[in-house]
Amino acid sequence: MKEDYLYKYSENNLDPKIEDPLPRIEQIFGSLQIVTTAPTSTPITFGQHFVLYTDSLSSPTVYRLYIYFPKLNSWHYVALT
Amino acid sequence: MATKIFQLKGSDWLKGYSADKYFPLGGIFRYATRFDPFRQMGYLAPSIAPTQYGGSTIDTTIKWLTNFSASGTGYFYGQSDTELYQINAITGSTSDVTSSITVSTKVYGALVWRNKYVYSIGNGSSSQKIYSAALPVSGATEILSVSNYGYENVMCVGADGNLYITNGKDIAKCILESGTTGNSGAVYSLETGQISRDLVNDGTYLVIISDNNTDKTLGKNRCSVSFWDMSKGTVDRRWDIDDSYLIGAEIIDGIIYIVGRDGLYACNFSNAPRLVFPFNGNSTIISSPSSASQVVKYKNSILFADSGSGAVYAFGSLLPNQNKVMYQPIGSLSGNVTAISYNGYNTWTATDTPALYNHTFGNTYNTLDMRLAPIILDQPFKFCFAKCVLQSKLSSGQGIDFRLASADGNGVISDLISISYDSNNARQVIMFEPKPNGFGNDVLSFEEMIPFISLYGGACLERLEIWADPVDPLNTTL
Repeated sequence: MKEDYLYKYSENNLDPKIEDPLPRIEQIFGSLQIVTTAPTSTPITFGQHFVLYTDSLSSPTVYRLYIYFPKLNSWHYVALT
Repeated sequence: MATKIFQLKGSDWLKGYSADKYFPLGGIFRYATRFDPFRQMGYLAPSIAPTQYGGSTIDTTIKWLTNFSASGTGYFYGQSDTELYQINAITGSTSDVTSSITVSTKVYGALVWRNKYVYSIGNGSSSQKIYSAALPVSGATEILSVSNYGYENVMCVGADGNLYITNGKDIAKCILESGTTGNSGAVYSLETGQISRDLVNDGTYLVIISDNNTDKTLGKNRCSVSFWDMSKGTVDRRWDIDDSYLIGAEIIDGIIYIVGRDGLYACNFSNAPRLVFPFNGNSTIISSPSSASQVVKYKNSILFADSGSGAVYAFGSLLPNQNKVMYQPIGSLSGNVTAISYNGYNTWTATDTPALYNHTFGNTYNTLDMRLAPIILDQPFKFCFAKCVLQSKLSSGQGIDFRLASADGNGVISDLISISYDSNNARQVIMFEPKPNGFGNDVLSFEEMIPFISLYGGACLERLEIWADPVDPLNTTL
């Protein structure tokens, strides 16, 4: 005969323990890269797919947003005002 | 020699309802009626008895309860199909203010938005309109006419500050609270056949709760949770749930809890819905609310009515880092619950009696009835006694019942014993000796046990102990 007969409940609970592992765009910090030479390298991270371009950091007159097209392996841009 | 085989105390009382009535799964109670474990933590303590208000004024069934403030005083509106009642949230004083707004034959939803009381009325077949009225109400202005008749217009303020409204298969949007300009009955349309049931703002998305079960029959239907950015023509994510139909949702701790006919689910943008608690089969709770007006956020819990009785259940915890449990803080109301309101301090319910109840003001207490899910033991025992330690000595009007059963409640280990307050011997510690019932279903040794306890008059149980003698398994007497 054992000494301790005290009943113990199994440990289980209903809490779903839901986490939020996927980052949302609202949670991304940091600025886009600004360059004065048109990009040519192949980006790796998501943020590297978007590059701001200007002809001069001191007295800019040209503003562009460069976007990398993965399947085409090429950069394209739109002019900004 | 008697040995202690079972004990409940302290945090055990926070374990909530079991998800299965034959096995303690995710909780320990088969039922624990009128018990909010977070009102007086650490005790099996009955909830405050309801107090009825507006008895002579409220003569139609309230379907929507909506909180608001005016001139530094908290109020709420209770709207029935044909009448509007204004209730002081502190005193409970009630007045009929129907003459101050426009009403029809049915009410389909209500919410306070941009300091206006916004509500939906119609006749169910050929007219359904959204009105807004200043707070407190004094005349109403039509802000939208919807064309899907007979569906509830459940309202939610989106992350963009605009008002979104369920409208059958469509989502309506109001950008103006004082007129119809720019307001639309369909800024987003669900898949054909889907009906929007409730809306939730998750901080980024408007979360649309919907299903394709027009008649709300039981069975497997495609129920959906869609995350819409309030801009594009498509949703960014859509989770499907196999349930009969969905009813309402609230966000707790960043998790969207969805009440369906067949279960309570949890999900968010990144996690597919998971069943948290079933409402069918061997579950301890087998019914659910009938409208989103019966699903509200209550502290750190989601509160929802049992449409088939005067009971309200809750799932949650006091603080976010505690395990969430299922409990029943409100029960045995006269009539079925039709609407719930919680304003941060007070809980109110409306029933189809019709009646309006407050569950915070009173100083009398409900009777608490508790039955544990079966406790399956390692070997047979013979019952010696149960020891119940109360929070304090029984006082006038207080009492405690105890009985111990086996065989799914049919075998009598010890029959019902009631102990009431005795002015000559007020007790805090009560011993329950074995009591046979003599009708042939007495159990001399038991392999499983089911304690039953009732508490009266506000008595609070601190600790329950069950003591028994181990019995040689070879000499078990059935």
